[in-house]
Amino acid sequence: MPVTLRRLWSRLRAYVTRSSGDDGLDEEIGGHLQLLQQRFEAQGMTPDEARRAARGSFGGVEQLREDLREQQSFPWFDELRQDVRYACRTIVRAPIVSLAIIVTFALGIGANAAIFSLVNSVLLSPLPYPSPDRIIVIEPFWKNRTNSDGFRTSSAPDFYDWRAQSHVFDAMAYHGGGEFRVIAEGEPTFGSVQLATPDFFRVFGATPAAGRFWTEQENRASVAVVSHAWAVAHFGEPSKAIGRHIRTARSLEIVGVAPVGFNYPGATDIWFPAGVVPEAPRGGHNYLVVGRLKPGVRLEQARAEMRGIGDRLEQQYPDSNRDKTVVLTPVREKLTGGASTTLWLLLGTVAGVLLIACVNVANLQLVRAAARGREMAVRSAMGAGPGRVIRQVLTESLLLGGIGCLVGLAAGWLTLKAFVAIAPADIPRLNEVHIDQRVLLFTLGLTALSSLLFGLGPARRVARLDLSGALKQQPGKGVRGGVGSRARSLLVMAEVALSFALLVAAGLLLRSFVELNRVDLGFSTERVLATTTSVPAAAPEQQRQATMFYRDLIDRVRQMPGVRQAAGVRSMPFVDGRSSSGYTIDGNPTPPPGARPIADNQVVTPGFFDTVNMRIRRGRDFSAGDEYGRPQVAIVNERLARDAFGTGDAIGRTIRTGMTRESSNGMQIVGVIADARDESPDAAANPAIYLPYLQHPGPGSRLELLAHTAIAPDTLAVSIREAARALNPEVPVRFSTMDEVFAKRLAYPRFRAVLVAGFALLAVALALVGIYGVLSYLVSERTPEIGVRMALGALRRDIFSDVISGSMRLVAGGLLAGLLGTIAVVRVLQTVLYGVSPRDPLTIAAVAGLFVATAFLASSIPALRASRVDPLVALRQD
Amino acid sequence: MDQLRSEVLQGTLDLMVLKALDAIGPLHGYGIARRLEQISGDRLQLNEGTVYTALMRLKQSGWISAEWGASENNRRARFYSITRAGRRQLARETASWEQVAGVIGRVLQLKPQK
Repeated sequence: MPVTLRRLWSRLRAYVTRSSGDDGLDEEIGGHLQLLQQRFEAQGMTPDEARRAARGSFGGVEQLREDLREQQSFPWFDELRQDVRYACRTIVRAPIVSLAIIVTFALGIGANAAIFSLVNSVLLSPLPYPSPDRIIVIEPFWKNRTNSDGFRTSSAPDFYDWRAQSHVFDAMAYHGGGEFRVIAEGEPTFGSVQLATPDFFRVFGATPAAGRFWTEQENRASVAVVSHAWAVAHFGEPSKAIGRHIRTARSLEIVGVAPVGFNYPGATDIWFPAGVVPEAPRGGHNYLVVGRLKPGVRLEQARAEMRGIGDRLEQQYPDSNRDKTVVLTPVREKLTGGASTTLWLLLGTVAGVLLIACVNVANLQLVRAAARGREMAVRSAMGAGPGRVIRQVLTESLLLGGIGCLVGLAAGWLTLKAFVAIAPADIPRLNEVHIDQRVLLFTLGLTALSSLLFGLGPARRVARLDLSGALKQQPGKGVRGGVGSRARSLLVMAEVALSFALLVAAGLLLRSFVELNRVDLGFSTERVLATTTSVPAAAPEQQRQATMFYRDLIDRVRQMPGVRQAAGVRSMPFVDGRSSSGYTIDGNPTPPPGARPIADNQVVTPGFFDTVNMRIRRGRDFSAGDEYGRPQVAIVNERLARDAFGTGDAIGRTIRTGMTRESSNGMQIVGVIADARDESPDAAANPAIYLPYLQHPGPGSRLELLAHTAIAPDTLAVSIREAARALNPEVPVRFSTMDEVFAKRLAYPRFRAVLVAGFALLAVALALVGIYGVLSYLVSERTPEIGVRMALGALRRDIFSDVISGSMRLVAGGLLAGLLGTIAVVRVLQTVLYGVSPRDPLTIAAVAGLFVATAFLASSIPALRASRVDPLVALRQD
Repeated sequence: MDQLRSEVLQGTLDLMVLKALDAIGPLHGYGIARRLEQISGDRLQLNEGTVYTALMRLKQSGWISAEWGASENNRRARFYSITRAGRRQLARETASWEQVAGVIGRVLQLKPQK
């Protein structure tokens, strides 16, 4: 133990056991004195003389005792106790100012605690897998196309080559799936199902909670692994699930239960073997690939190796792999990619709020410090050094900050729940959000930092006080000449600047949210009920049954009263995961290999366009006659028609895609449909090919049924469910309205706009309170001067406009600074804005106008008070 | 030099007490005071009570330990003895003291150059 530490420790021990600290000291001193006395007596002194001499050469006993006690204690600790006691008294003595400080501070801290909890749980906490940093998402990267930020699918042959040729991975697996019907215990439900290759669980380092995972030999077997939560929900406990059978497209035996909390990707319930796909086309991207890096392999190393493999494949298979390379992204980055921009933005916003809160509190403290100038001067005059005075003020700040922090944490805990409730549901790990140790540490650190921030300025000012001037101050009144009036003005300007910037950001986000809602989608979401069903079909016979089920269901729904039109569609608008493929046009020059244009593929039933009010520009809709065995037909959107035919006519031309049967003569284009932004309102429509359902029943046999209703759409749910049950009791049914689906798509922009706007309003309110407070103080300080001016003939109007113009100068200065800051900073918003420039003059002007108006109101109250000063009263005050 | 200045004293006093305990073995406060007096003659004018503040400092640093025993007038007295850490400290302090003293001595012996 180092000496300083040991000294501290023994002091501490002595301090704590203070009563027994000087045990034996009296005895020791007594003995010493006695021996000295004996010595002096031996030299021939009388006992009296000897006693006096002994005392003389020993020195003051009381002084020594005092010295020893001090050496054993912590003087600063005693002083601290004094400071705290004193600070408590001060806080209680000015309850309103103290309350204002605490509330202001609690708002700032609470907002930060809540948002940091989100950031912490979603972005910072490690994923619940062993060595989560080694889990990597492997996906294709298109050199000549925009790559979506979401998970990108890979082709099975590419996967097998990646796995065979790379040396940096411990395990690599692909998976894919979605929501399908699952029948467990005879009950049809929707289950989130993934097919996966055998190494899937090894990639995540998962060990089964019960049973086992399937082996390489079982890659075609009818077995399944279920999630812990699913097993508990259906069978009570994990071990009871083993050996049970569930039915998806086929019957699967449950052989294992995944560990608690494991549900990758998303909220998967069931995993089953992917089977072997030897002959799959290299250009068919259907699977998501994940891998676990070997220990010690750096990501850069792995990236380099995989790039090499990607280059080789590109040369080997120019047809399918031209311009396609491989990228590696840690799974955490991939998972949180979408949410991170929003969360960091919010964290920045609440940091701004806290800063404003600090400025406000500093201001309040300054006002109070000025009022306490005399008291502080007295303390200095009585020998308290500047350090001691600063410490006193800082103790007060910390104490206020501490109380504010506690209140803020409580408030943050409450608001956190509200934030989670309105947050986009697809923010990963949202259900794990909580206030943990890190959040507490963050909050405490923030509190200490901001307490010092808002305490140090006023404290230093107090310590620099001119003693004689301050002592002449009358009790209960401020120091004349305005202690720190310039500092206060600067603080007000800073507040205005900060809250202005936040309000501009909020205005821009709100405007882009409005713009997103106003976008002409090219179709209508109004009064459209979506019925989600699932009829798993593996064999062709099952597929035919599924097709009939949907045909019959659509017919029945169409006949229901209140339904205007109904149709089916493969991929619901605004939901990710539509398929796309390259296409060629007969008669157009053949594009070089790998340069085939890409189009979305959408499968619909006749009447779909009418149901969602999409306008047919040329040609016709599909009809009941466009069925299997008849010549294949397609409808394309305007974007594709423009790309492929320019100004020429698309009708009657032949198009071929991945979904064209090899044997056929291609698909004849029978119609051109208006472009629809059915992926996201902020993304222009992709080229799209619409195909008739009866010619493409597809392996999944899953169709969304859309019904355009004349009445409130959800009133139809019961009858549609009954109709579906009557046709096939094994089909699970779920409903949503298109408006809900659309709202979900805008969840992020809404979340951002609502929260930033809320925080910005909070910031503005704080700033206005700041302006009001400072102005009120200035007015009360200037009362005598105003009295003199009025006695000399100044009009009330003059006084009023004088105060207002002083305040407006501050506001104008703040706005100018805020404007410059906003222009510099607001570019970070670019990526989250839609349809509005980050420097949108309208928004900036509106916010500035709002600011000036409210600031005028806030300052008019003190200004009025100033103009009502009675010169007689004011002059008599001195 | 009639009197050692008090600032110099604190560090040196600790060193002297350590040295005394090292040289003679366990001593009580009175004994230490006598020993210091004996070494320094009458040039060290200090209140004997000061010894106890030095003893407390040394004890807090873990360089000496204390034990109750009987003094020559048959009263209970606390006897202090140097610890192993104390001996190491003494050696360190002695070395650095000698170094400083040597340097200062040489500086003071410098003759003005002509």
